[in-house]
Amino acid sequence: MSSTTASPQKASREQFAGRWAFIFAAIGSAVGLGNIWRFPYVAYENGGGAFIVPYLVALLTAGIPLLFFDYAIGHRFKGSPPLAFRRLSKWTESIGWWQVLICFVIGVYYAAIIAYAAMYTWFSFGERWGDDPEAFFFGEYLQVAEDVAPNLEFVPTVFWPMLAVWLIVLVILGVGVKKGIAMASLIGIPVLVVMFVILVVVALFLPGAPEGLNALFTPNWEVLTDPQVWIAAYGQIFFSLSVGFGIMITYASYLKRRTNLTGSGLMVGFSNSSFEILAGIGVFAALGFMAQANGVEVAEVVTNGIGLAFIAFPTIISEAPAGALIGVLFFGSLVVAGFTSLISILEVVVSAVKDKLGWNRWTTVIAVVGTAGLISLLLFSTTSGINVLDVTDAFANNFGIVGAALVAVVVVSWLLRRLDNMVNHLNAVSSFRVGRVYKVLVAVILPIVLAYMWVSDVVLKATDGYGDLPSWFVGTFGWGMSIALIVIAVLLSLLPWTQRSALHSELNDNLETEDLPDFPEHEGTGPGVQWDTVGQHHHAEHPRKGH
Amino acid sequence: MDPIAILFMGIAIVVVWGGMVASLIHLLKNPDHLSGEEGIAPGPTT
Repeated sequence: MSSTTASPQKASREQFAGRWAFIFAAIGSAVGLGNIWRFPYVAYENGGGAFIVPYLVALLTAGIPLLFFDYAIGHRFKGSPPLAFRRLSKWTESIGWWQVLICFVIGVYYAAIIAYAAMYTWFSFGERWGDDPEAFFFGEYLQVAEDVAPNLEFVPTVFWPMLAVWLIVLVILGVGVKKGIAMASLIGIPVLVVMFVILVVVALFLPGAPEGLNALFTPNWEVLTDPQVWIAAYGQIFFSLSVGFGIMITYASYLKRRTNLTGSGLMVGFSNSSFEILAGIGVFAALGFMAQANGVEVAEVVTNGIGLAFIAFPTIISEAPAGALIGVLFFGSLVVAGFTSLISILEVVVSAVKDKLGWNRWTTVIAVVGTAGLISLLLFSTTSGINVLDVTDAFANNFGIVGAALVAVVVVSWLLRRLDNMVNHLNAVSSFRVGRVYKVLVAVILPIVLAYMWVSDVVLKATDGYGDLPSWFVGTFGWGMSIALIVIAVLLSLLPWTQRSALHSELNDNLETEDLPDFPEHEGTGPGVQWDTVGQHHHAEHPRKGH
Repeated sequence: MDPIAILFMGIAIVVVWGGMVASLIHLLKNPDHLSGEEGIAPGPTT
């Protein structure tokens, strides 16, 4: 097969300008809505101050190892998830497509939440929600229909901001990795941090803030013997770090040949957690104020997700001094954090389609963002959108991301037995060396934790259903969607890679392509050669023999 | 604010933000072209 022989026409893959551009983009991806509206609640519910123990253990034993794992695959095999897994082993391409499709689904509904937050930034000025933020959100703003079945009754105040979100994303992704993705993160992350620091300072001076912080940080040591608390910590770290569903594989594929992968990964992991701590302080200081203003315990006002953002915070804004400022800072932070995450989520899809079909970036972006935007507007800017959002979010995260990560880790570690290659690659270019402990974490601890999370969630949903929604609805947008993603992923992996595709046309500068033999099983540059020792390549055993 | 809550807020900040600062210092001390086995290997470091 000719594709593996030297070819002077091979193009270089797009690259970040430097490691800081990559680090900011990776932090921008990791720091998202979950940091702001999920972590504080999870920490409070699982031991308060004592939660820091399982949280740090989870960060060090699962989050950062999985981050390194994604980096190694993306950087070593220089491709979007389907291409990277294809280069790893032909039959694993479908794992990459599964991750891509999960990103597509998440991106489609994520845009709706950013649109809500953008509108609420505007609403903060006049406190449009009045005396009853809950009634306003579901009634006046979303105009939620009684019938949960999807309809085409568009809500203009959701439709137009969503359209704006999609147009902005289209431009950022279309401009490219350096000028679009990296620039958006290099601007967005400092803006986000400044806005949130100001929000925290304002919140700390609200009456009742100390009670909120007491509730968050007072340790409850007894809960540490509860396995569910540890699973909650692993779940928070896992969902927060943007690992296991292709984003970090894609971003790492845009890194230069010589990049300190583990050093950058530590920076990304700890930065993400640092922002979570900051978010916890800001949110609970504000909730403490809300509790005091209403004459109730903090426990009675604690909430997360959409309830925290669009019901609790409007209440706080209405009652607090400088409420409009708090509103702009809080919802503005959600918008910025959401955008940098959404860009990373959709770049996975763009990169995969671009790699497979060999299209140029603008054509790919218009096709991918246009399709995703159309589906997004049809499903989520209508009076039935919030129910679809609720179900797809729950299944895409717990069934999809956890399942795909579990399969990836097990396949690479146990079936292909390529973990040593990943470790060698990380150590070849990185300052923080990984070894036996890392391999145990990835090959043993991670599969156990992920399998427990996945199985327990599937069993719970299968036995108890999901929420109050009818079973046909959960079956269609939950189970049906989740299984359809796997089927479509397998079908996409069966489509041939054309000569224009990145598999054949892009240079993988991690390898010396001139030295590659012609391995029919391993088209393109990659798995036929293993980066083994210092500055040297050697040809791996033929796949039939060695793997 | 209760002393125990202040203590644990302090611990969380010191450990997590301290980890970030330590990571930053480590990263600054280890430029890409000098990192890893390739970084300390003789020969070209392109």
